[in-house]
Amino acid sequence: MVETDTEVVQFFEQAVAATFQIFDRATDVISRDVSLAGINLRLKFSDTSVAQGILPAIEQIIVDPSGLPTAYTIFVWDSFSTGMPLPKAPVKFTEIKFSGEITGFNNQRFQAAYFTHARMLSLLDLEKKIGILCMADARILPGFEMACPLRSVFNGILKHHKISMVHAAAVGNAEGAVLIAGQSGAGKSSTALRCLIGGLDYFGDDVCAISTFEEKPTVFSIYSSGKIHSKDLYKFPNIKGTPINKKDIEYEKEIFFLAEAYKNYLPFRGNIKAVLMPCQSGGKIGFSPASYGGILRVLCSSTVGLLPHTGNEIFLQLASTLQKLPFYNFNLGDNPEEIAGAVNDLIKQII
Amino acid sequence: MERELRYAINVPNIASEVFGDEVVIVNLYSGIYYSLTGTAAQVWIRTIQNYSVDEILADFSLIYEDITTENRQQVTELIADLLDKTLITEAQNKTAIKVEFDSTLPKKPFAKPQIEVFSDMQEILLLDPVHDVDKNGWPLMKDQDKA
Repeated sequence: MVETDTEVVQFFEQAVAATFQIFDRATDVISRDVSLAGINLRLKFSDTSVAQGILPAIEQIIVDPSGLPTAYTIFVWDSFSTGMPLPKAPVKFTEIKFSGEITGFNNQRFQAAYFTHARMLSLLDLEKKIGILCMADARILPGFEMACPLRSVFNGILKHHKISMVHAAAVGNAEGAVLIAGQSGAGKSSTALRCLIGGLDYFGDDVCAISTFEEKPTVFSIYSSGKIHSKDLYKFPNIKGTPINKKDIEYEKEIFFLAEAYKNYLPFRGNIKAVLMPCQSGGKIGFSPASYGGILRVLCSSTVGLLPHTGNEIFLQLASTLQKLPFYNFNLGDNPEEIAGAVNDLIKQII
Repeated sequence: MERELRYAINVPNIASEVFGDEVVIVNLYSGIYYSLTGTAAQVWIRTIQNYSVDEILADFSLIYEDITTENRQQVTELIADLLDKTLITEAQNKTAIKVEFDSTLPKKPFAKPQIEVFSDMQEILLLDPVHDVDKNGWPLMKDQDKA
């Protein structure tokens, strides 16, 4: 267990020094600007192979460099291509939480998380506005990390700006969006992808951002990846996008990058009109009023479990942000072809 | 279990919130979350305000019909379970923070308090057990080569 703030500062300073050393001598640095829920970030990758592991899932939020100062700079590198080892672990591995958060290394200035399955360290210094994502080997990044990259750094920045990352899908049309909540395997991804194929806008299938301060609840797109369980792939013969063949721990799901094939269906933001929880009860497709508490419980608890640096505050923020919205159980029915139309009609009906 | 002992939520490892009649508790270390409703939710709400078992039962005698010896045992067992799951810990405070309720409402039947456990977040990542660390001290999973 870390004993003093000095140890935390030293750990971050060492990590920043190692990172600057890498980028000072690198000859193949890739730089991209992204707009994360309206916050301008500059991402710098130590080489092409590292960039290839991160960029495909966030292609839709890449923006042209504006010439204006960026709010944060995020450095991404791996040990394999740079020869730089990961910074020495500052705690025993038993002090790393399920979500990756490193005990004792998270405060108002610093945030640190380690992801064992990806051998990846994520650091954020909110005062110096520097983020670092370093990993053992970008070539073997698990598919789940490629589908939702940088989520620890993104979550720390968004939280600092009073925007919440949530474990939910979101789709919509020109009139608004719906948030799709559900436990793992409940059908969030497949519902969102059905809607995309059916012509609706797509904000994400697993992780989105929600403003907690605007008058109207707003969802922001972060990732343009999509996941389909391998056993269900045959049900999506018309899906476009670039699949990645990653055999990893993420419960045998096929991952697609959708930005290129569906670039006209990936808006930056949308006003949330309702919150849905998909269920497969068979019979006729339809919506029925759902308990506010039941859906918020699923939404909040799965978010806390998935995202580092997320605690009790997410309960309060989401309860406050979403409480005025209608909540529905969404019976997906027997005919998946009807899903997009049903969601489209629902959004149009809600004033 | 000593009936006069007081308890508190096991922060910072545990986060909880009340949604209507339901309490949701998340263990930030394990990713497991819990749902308590009915009497179990009422036990939790008082436990984290440093109530002792006897003080919880005193409140319950005003809320529920005919609390039996078995019901008292069920409350005691729930608190033991919360302790066992490390959701609560012994409190340093020696006084409870009063939980307000309307004692004039008609009493309700007592139902056995129960905890629902959800581990779907663990299934998302399907982590192999960590069994070693690399030379820099970071955990390795069993199928990862040593650095």
